[in-house]
Amino acid sequence: MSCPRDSELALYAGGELKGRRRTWTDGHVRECQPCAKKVGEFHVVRSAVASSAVTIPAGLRAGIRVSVLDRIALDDGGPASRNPLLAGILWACAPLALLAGVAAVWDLLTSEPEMPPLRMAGIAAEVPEGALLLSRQLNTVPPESPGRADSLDEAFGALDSGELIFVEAGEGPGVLAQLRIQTADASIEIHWLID
Amino acid sequence: MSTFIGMRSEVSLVQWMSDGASDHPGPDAVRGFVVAAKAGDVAAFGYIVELHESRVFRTARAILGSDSDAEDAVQEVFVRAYRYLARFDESRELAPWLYRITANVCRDLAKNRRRHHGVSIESLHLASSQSGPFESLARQEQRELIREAIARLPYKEGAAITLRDLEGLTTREVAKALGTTEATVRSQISSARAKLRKYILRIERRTS
Repeated sequence: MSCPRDSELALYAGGELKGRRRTWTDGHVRECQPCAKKVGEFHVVRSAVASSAVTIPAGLRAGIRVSVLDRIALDDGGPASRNPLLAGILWACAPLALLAGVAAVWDLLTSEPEMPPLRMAGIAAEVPEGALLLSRQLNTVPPESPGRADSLDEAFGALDSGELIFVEAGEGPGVLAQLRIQTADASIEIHWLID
Repeated sequence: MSTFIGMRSEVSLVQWMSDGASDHPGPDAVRGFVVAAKAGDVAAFGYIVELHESRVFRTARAILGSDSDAEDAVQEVFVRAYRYLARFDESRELAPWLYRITANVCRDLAKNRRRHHGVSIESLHLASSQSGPFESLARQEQRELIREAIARLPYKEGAAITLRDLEGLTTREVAKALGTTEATVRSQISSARAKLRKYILRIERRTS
């Protein structure tokens, strides 16, 4: 009785061999010590691969989510706007949108303390304890009467260790602003609309 | 007054947080976030990212072999997923679709960077070890070697064995993710396992 090829034993060890071929290999491996040894080694290979998994580092995890949402916010359309005509129109309007965005950012950065009311619209990434309190505070009311903070100072009142990283405007029915807060442990991103 | 399309899922997320829930939500909840994200709800999509980024990272890390490449891959996977979400049928499971995007992104990254070209698993440096690898593969050193070896496999073999033996997908699911047939996947898996076995045996010979 000839031994199965290594490629078959590799599949046998992983359970990918089916039917008569599997039955035959079952019987063969029970009687053939060298093949049984190889099957054992392929089991080790499988276990080694399974145990080689790398968990995503916590810091990286927060960063990835924020980066993804950043890139999506800067994207030109969104999931439902793949229409070529619409895409063309959007491209044509891009310079105006860019100018409006720059103006809005400039306004945001220079208009304190007359900061427009804030309305929390999204949270991303790991949320530190203080920020979680803040987010709940701003979101415990239904969307019909959204929670508000009258100024950035008030919004940051709940975050004693928060540091403002950037503010930028994006597209939307109003002006969508993004704010990222970085603490020692994590970062959060807040999106809000300026009415 | 302007309105924000993301508000609905935002309330759901806040509700979920308020309830103190930490477990992975069920398929219906995920489907709800997919529907909201398809409507342009960025907050809902952020939640989808949160739920799936670990497995996407794990897969990309195994195939590409470095944290920084995996990080780039994860970002690209979710940006592509958002871009093409309108084409996704929400009655189906999201994870297999994300695996497929992950495989495509990893293939592109591996191709563009040509990281592993000309560097085969056979030429991989063997770290010293005081005991036989088949007895001590659980050790960190061996895990690192295996990670390195998987990343040195040809892309298709590395992707196939990662999805099958690390992520635990069936051969049919792997075939779908890689856009190929089950027979091809079996051949790739078999070849990858054979190479890894030889690699481990080389370690054994080196250390015995």
